[in-house]
Amino acid sequence: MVSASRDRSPRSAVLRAISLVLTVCLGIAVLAGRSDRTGRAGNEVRTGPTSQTGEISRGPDSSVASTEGGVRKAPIDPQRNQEAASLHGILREISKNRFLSPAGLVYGPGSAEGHRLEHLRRHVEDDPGRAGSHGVFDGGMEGALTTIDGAYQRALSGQRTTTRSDGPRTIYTVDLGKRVGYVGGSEGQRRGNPMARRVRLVLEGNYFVTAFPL
Amino acid sequence: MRPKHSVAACPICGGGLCGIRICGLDRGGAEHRLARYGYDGIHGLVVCDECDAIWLEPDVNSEHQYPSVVDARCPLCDEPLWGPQSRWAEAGDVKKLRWESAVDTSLETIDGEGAA
Repeated sequence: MVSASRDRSPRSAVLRAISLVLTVCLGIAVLAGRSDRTGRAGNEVRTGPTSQTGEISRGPDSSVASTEGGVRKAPIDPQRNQEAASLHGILREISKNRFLSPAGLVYGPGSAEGHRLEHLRRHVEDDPGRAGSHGVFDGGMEGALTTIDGAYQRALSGQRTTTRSDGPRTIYTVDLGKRVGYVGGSEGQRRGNPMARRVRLVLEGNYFVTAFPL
Repeated sequence: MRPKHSVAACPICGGGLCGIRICGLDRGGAEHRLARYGYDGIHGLVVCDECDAIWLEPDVNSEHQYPSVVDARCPLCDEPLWGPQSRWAEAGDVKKLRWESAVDTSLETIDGEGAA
């Protein structure tokens, strides 16, 4: 009863009113602060990595990627550099423009194409307009190089190989016992592009001159 | 990069075309060498486009030779075999060399493609 009488007093009513005003003000202040933080965060998103400033991009795949003159530079990655040093995933550069295969073949300058690898590139796709046969390796350059290395290893061990020497050149014909490509060119086309499982390999020492499937 | 006019399929590597090349088109510094060999201008070669075997006559039954594997040179003028003074012979070049009768027309490219 005492407290009820107190609640009804004018002084108590004033105190309740002040308390209510303070509570409302505090609530407004809290809401205003939250709104302010949200607003700033929104600005960060809009002016972040994809903003018009072209600043450093820190994507998930590139912790140190940067841009210079609008060109994105890849981060330095030792493992990637090591892979880049090997050509077609199999060759190692031993001097300028000279590449060594795992089996010991050297691919260097020469041929009408300027480099034996560029010459070999002719044999990773068909040339149906070419007169006669045109052997085509399966598997692109990497497949061709791997097949040639396998053929060379077989040739050195004399396995299913016929060898002919002509002056400084050695001409191996190696049966690899499985499909390594097909016969293209106009003759190959006429015959329905039969599969090839032999490789003819022309070398001078261990220097690659040409190779193609038969 | 294939010959435009060939005289035979290569009897050595079995995969190449023995194409006619004309050399000495841009004599430049090669003049003295040409004189030394008794050639005063353009000259023809037959070259296999696979194994680089060379014949000095448009007949693959004649003696053949190989250029250096790393620095191929014309055996007549000593200029680079694949240099700018040399190219796979056009029909007009074959005529200049008077080698028309040696051309095997069945070995000509179907689409007429070819390159120097």
